[in-house]
This record gives sequence, structure tokens and C-alpha cells, in this order.
Amino acid sequence: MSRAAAFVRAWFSEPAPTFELRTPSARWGKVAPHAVRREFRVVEVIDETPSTRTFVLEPTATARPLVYEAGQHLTLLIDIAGVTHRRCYSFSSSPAPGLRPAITVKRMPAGLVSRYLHERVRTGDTLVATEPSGQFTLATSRALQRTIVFVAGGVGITPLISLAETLLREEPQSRAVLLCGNRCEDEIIFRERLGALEAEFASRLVVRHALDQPPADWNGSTGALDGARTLQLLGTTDADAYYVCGPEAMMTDVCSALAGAGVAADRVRTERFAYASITTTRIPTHSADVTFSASGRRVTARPGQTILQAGLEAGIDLPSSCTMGGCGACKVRKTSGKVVMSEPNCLSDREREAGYLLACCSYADTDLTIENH
Amino acid sequence: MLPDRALDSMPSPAQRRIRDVFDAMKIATRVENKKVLVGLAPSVTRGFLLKEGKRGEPVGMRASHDAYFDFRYQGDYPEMYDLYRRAVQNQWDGDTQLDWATDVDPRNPEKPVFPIELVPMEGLAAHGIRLDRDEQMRFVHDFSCWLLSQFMHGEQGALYASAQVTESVHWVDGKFYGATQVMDEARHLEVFLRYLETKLGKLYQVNDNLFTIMDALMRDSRWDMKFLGMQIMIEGLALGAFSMMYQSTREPLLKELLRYVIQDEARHVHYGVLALKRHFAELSASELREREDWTFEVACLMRDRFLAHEIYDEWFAGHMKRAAWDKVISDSPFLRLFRQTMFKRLIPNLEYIGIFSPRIRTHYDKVGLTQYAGGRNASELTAEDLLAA
Repeated sequence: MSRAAAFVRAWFSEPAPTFELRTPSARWGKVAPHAVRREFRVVEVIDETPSTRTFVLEPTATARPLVYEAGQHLTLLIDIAGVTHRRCYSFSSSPAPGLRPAITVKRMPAGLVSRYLHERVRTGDTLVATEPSGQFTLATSRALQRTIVFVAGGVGITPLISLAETLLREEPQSRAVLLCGNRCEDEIIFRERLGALEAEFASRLVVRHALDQPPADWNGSTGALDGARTLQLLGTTDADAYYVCGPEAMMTDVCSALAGAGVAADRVRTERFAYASITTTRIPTHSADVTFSASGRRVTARPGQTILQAGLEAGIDLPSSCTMGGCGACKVRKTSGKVVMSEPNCLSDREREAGYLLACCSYADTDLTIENH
Repeated sequence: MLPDRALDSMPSPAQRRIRDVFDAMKIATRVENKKVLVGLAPSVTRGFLLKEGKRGEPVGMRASHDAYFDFRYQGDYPEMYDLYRRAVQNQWDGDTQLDWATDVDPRNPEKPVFPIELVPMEGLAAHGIRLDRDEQMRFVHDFSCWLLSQFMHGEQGALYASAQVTESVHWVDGKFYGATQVMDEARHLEVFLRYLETKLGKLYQVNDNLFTIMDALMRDSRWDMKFLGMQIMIEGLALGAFSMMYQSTREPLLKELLRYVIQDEARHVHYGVLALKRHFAELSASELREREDWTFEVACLMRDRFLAHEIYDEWFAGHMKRAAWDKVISDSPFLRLFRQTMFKRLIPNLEYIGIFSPRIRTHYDKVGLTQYAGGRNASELTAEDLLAA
């Protein structure tokens, strides 16, 4: 139709709508897992010990099915007095079919979020979290026949029981050895569940407990679950893999003992629940200015304050998850200045060479500029 | 002007077309400077009469400027080079630095994309139009989509205009900077399009006033007119609009998106101010006069853009006269605040670059915009100032 004809026709016909409804283009792709948020309803709350509680979760009705691997964690986004706090909690449930997802939280005396969860969250409440994440996982195959040792200190059992149960259910020919160290009998987490698993997988599961302060009638091992006791309880070091999770000092000692007994480092996996140990010779004892390039804002990091802490305190939205150098969610790049970074952490050599650092365990040694995400 | 009764007796498509002709004639009769009128007339014809922006098909805008090559690589302008370095250091990634997983419910009154209080419910009610709660939320949703769609169309225009500016500017440092603005504008287009497609699901056609402005500056062969049109007028007014949206919205993803965009836009306007201040100091009186008059007409087109006739056509055509809608939307608290915020940024920039003479000031007085004279211009403002606008 000529332009003139179209022009005339337009005088007598209704114009097309001035809008169109759109569906998302394929160019936008998938959202990065750590950024996805979803809601869960708390369907059951179980008191495991006086200080530890399990929250059984169910994705809300409109949410996508939850997919996670044993050993992974959920980052909860908890709004307390208008401030969003992020905390990671390992799944204590096995993702095997038919089992309900759950996280287990130990109440820490100075823990803002753990106390909130224990004191405020009830059955029926809704929690917001990011998608499951974490690399402390175990690839299973029904064809495999292997023995895996799980060494748990205190609440470190939460990812390990998930891993152990998953191994037992998905590899019918494999064995699991679970060593559990606790201060006293009251603090043994999942005792009934472990008993049930021992009954179900009698010949393939060995559970050994060690207590610092056992009762008089205790017939398990006595003393802290350190490296020496681990080797004593195991008897041999010919397992195919070792998964260790617990207090920092315990993990260090266990890993050292295993190495000393000839266990190759690539057979040992660890998951940290505590801040990385500071192995540098000093934390800066002076303040330094940190400039965040996305906003141009400059904040002063006080002595002993990590870059993440300084930024969050100033209201800068910095992504984070584990806050202990283990997951990389807080990775940023330094464009000028010097930092002191706690070790160990999950940064690769290549990332360090490229100027990346983990804000959660880095301290400003001089004024610096950060490319924040 | 035809009497209302005569107009009402015509079929509604014809009524719309006649109003379009009146809109075009209103612009033509307002423009006093004949050179400006001749320059704008083709764009007004394409925008208002031929509706080229609303045909639902791509539009070609033929460029007539020279790409300025300087093989000596001279043309130092340290302030522009500084802007370039800052731009290089502040590139952000619209995919990873915005939380696209955020649930956005445009009808959630607790996290509104657009505040319901700014919609002219009382003005509509005075014309017998009463919206129930559900209709109010749908209206807010549509108005949000319309507003963001216009920003998005403006970003497409800015993308091409900044490329043209990079080609035609004479300073090498200006070309370095221009290239970063091209990337900035592509990123802005990306994030607005993504927000509209993935969160709101509705796109509105480009407003005729905006199309006319973009058509005019894209086709003008003079590099400084492109600067004036894009960097000062469109970007400058957009900056005001974005600042207002940033302050008003309670939707966190949009707020974060606007924060990033505003930081870039501050550089863009600063660039335009730097370039034109120096250049306009060398122009003749008649050349300056033409630019003053052209700028004023573009300011009027930018003001009229926010009459949102696309919303009127969808919601109220047949229920109230368009002239009545124009009055309702002009008097609405939202548009009053909008104008305040937009022109608060624009007028000081015009003063700074030297095209706000006492003569043209009387024109701005008539439309109530000179209260912002004497404020800080783009070279004096920081991103924080703009976020706190």
C-alpha cells in the first residue's frame, strides 16, 4: 500500500493499540544461582538438642521444585529491624526422593540470626533464601563400591549426615563411617536419626561418638575428637575419601593427622563453619578509606573491620553468603591500595593475580578502591 | 479549530487524526524563529502526522553529518579525558550487578513501581471517572510501563546519537569519552528493556513528541545540535526524570537500576556541558539565537511528552475529551513534581553554556520554568547530588 493510501486509510480505521504485551526474550538467559530468591514455608520445627533446632521446609506453592545436593547450603535472607542479614545453613536432610528438605541451626549466644530463628520462627512462617549452593558435595553412582569417612565436630554434623545418608541410599554397595564429637551427651545432634540409620543400614554404617564430658555410664570414646582420636577410632586410613566439618581447630588437627598417616590431600574435603584463621602476621591496626567504585562512596574501615563489614555498616549493598572466605559470593576486585586477606580462603591463584579479593575476610591495609558487585 | 460538536460527530479515528493535525499546527504556530521552524517541520510531520514512530516497523533516519577524522590525534581537552577515565573505571554489568531474581509485582501496594498517590484520581473523578482499587492498580501498572517505555525509547535514541556525536566531535579526548557513552547507552537500553519484558510485560510505543525530537537531532548535520539535543535536552531532562523515579519508587530492583543509570547520566550531561560551553563562546549572535529558540521548542516538546496521550488513548478515549485529560494530567501532583525535578537540572545547564539570554528567559517564564535559574549546573554536581534530588 502506498504511503498516501495508508495515510488516508488511517483516517477511517481504528489505529493499532499504542502498546504490546511482551514475553521475556531468550537473550536474558538464566539468572545466576546465587542471585535467585525463593520462599519456603516452615512445616515443622524439631528441637534436636537444647541449643539446636531443625526447620523442615517446603517451597511455597508457586515456587519451582527445590533441587539441591547433599552437602550444600541455603543462604537465608533474614530481615531484622529493616536490615537484611545473610546466613548460610547446611541442609541436614538428604535430597533422596521422598525426604523433606531441612536445615539445622545451632543457637549461638551472640548470633543475631541464629537467635532470631530460634526465638521467632515457628511452623507456618515463611523464610526467604537464595538457591542452594556450595561445593562440599559428593557425586554418587549406584555402581560404586567405596568407603567414605565423615568426621563431625558439633554442629558440623549437619552437612555430613546429609552426605552420609545420601551415600547409603544411592550407593547400595558403599559404606559410611561417621565420627561425631561433642562436648556432652545432651549435645549429640540427630541421635535418634542416627540410630534409625544404623538400624536401616546396619552393615554399611558405622557411627562412633566421642564426648569431652561423658556421663558415668558412657561406653563411647572419651575426649575431644581431635586428630589422634580420629585415627584411633578409624583404625585404618584406607577409606576412599574423608569429609571433615567442625570447629576450625578440630578440622586443622584432623587434617594434619590424616596427612601424617599418609592420606593424600585430594582425598580430604572440608567445610568451614567459622571464620578463616588469620595466618597473616598482622591485622592492620589503623583505619583506612575504602572507595566502592559502583557508587563512588568512600567509607572508613576501622581496625579489625573487614571490607565487607565496613561496606555493610555504611549501607552499601555488598553481596555475601558464608562470610568466611569459603564461597566467593563477596568476591570483588581491588583497583588500588593494599589489603591483608585471611587464609585459607577459596580464591584461586589466578583470581588473586587478577586483583580479586574476598571482602568478608580482607582488611584494608592502605586506602583502596574496590570494584564492587 | 473545529468546534467540539463538529469533532464529536466524526468517527473516532478521524477525530484522532484531526487532533494530531492540530498538535502539529500548535507547534508550528508557536515557533517564532523561522529557521528553527524550517528545521523542525519535517520531523514534526514525520512524528505527528505520519506517525512514523507508531507504525510498528523500523524507522530509518538518514544522517547527514561528517565523521571527523583527525590523524594528528590532537585536540586535548583534559576534563573530557578525565570523564573518559572515570567512565572506563565505572562500567557496570547490567546482568550480574542487578538482582534480576527480584520478584516484582507491579500491583503490590507495598512495593509500588510507581506511587499511587501521584496518579490524578481526583482530577479524573471531577470528570466522572472513578476507578475502583483494582482499576487503580492496573492504571498504575500501565502508567509505569508507559513511563519506562519512553525512557527506553530515549535510550535507543541516545545510543545512536552518542555514536554520531563520537564521530562528529572534533576533540580526540571527546571521541574517547563518546565511545564510553555509546556503551553506557547500550547498557541502559538493555536494562530498561529487560525490566519491561521480564518484570512488567508491557511496552508502549514511542511518544510523538519524543520521536520528533530524536528525528530532528539525528538528521541535523551540525555536531553541536546533536550535543544540545541529546546531551543537554534529552539526557538532562531524563536525569531529572530518573532522579524523581528513584526517589519515588519503592521497588528495589528498579531503584537499583535507576541508581546505576543516574551515575552514568551525570557523566553524559557533564560531557555535553563541557563541549558546548567552549563551542558556544565562539558562535555568532544569530547562531546562538537559533540554538536558544530550538532548545526552547525542544523543552516544550519534552514537557508535552508527559501528557501521555498513549495512556489516554488506551484508557479514556471516548470517556473524556483529550483536552480535559491534558489539563488533568498537567495539574496532577506527579507532573508538577516531575517538571520541577526535570527543569531544575536543565535551566542551570542552559545558563552555564550561554543559551539562556533575557530574551529567551521570558519564554521560559511563560511556561513557569525559570524558577530554577541560578542553580548548580552539571559540571558542579556529583552523582550523590543527583540521587538525593
